[in-house]
Amino acid sequence: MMQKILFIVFLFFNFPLFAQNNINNVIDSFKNRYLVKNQLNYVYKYIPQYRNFMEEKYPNIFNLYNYYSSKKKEFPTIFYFTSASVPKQNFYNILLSINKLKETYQIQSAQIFKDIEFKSLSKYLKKITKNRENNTSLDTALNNAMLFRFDPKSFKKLNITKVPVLAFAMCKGDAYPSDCDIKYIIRGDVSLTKFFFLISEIDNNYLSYYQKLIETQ
Amino acid sequence: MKKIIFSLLILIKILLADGLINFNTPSPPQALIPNGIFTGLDFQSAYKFIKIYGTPNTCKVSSVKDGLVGLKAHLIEPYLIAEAVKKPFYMRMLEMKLKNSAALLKKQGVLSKDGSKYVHILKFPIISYLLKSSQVNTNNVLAFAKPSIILYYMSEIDPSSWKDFLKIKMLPEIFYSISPQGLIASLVDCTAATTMNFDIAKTNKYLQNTRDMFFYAQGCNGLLSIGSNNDGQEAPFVTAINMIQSNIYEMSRYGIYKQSVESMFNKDKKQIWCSAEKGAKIKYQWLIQLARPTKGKILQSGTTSALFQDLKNNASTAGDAVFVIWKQRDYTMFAYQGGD
Repeated sequence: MMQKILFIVFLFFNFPLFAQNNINNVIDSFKNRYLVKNQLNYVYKYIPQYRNFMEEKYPNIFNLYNYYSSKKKEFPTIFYFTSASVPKQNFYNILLSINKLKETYQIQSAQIFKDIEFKSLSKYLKKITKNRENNTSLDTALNNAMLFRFDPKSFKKLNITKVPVLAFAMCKGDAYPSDCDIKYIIRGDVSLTKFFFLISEIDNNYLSYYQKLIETQ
Repeated sequence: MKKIIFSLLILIKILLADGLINFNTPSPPQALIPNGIFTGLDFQSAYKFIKIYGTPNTCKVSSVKDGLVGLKAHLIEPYLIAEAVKKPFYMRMLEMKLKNSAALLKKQGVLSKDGSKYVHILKFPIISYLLKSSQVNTNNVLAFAKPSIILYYMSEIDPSSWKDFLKIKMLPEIFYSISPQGLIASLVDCTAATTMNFDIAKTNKYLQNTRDMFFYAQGCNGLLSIGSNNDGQEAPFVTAINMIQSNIYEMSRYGIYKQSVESMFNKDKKQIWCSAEKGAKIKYQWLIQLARPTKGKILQSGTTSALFQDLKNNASTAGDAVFVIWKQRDYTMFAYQGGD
């Protein structure tokens, strides 16, 4: 009795149920070293049938690559180049105004650091996130707009030696400065309202961002 | 006699798989640092993966301590070094040869025929060694794997690497990959992988799910059954990558390679943010990069240029190749307790 139970348990753990029926039929073909080639012939027979089925169900399945690339849009992105030495109130102000813009516009944002310095970074992060439960508007701003990323290449490319620096870019993919084409850059500690005011003097399209930021509600 | 040796080999394999034969080292031994691996790593695209979000997450363990509330973050690190070599028992990444046990195995008729590649996989979390030397406690801020070197796999002593009959006993899911639906799966998997390579660091849940769902498909490498060593002479690097993938699949099934990225397979998402979990093979979690003889980019598995013809002119490693396998991780900063 015990042996039988053990045997059943052994079988159960060795072969999952879905494979058990097929094993005896196909096991001979597995002895052949050139298994894949033989199986290909078997597969080709069934292709038209399966292809029709798949095309009916998922019309874009063979066109997924083109579909995805054509659908890509350029997203307006705001980059804030910072370091751990920037005061936290300045950082909060930028986040709050980005969060305000995000209510109406589809905007990406990221805060870019030059390099990973563990000690200073951990101190800075703890300082930022301290006592955040009391301030609800700041809490939502941190949730929506905060994204720290690291990009030493763009610091070199844009010749950034002092922080903070604000930049406006159009990105096709992820919010990462070295992958995007950066349109406008303003060096020094500037608020986002001032930043968009200065940009809208050059290009009138960005006036709406400025108007949104100076709204009272 | 044959039976005894065979059972011994299997025992060795199990021991290797469990990580019992390993050498945990507190500091990096200079001799064991793979030659040329540091220059071969693609750190530029690795920077893209490091993200720290503003959303808080709490990890409750046993008692509420200070620092268990943290921020959500994402990370990548070089975790495994895998190599495909022509000579048996030759470790290309360490530039050394193991003792001549090949002759013994050849007598028993266990060693595979000429022309096929041998695959070795070594756990080598390089970043943790680098940080250990600078005496920075980074377990809370950036949760890299703990420093330990383990030789996980050698295809020379694994009979299932050249006998499909044994492989099918270990992984019955091979049936999926050679079925008609496997062909369609590999087509879809290939398109998903190539689109993900565009913005490699961007998280797209639909594409991730398709990759994870067709875990048995080999991407753009075509219709290959997991872990088969069939195309040994035609495209050896494709077989090497296939065998590496199968090893990742097996090891994650045993629970040795852990799931550290949130996916459709794990239902309780909070566990991933707080600690690593034993689970299924998450294809999206593992990224492959060619390190030697030429430095490649970090790519989704199944899209690396693995053809032998690409590297034929480069004679610096005599036709051998070293791949670095990167591991992604979702975790809670200041509260992650996984370590692996």
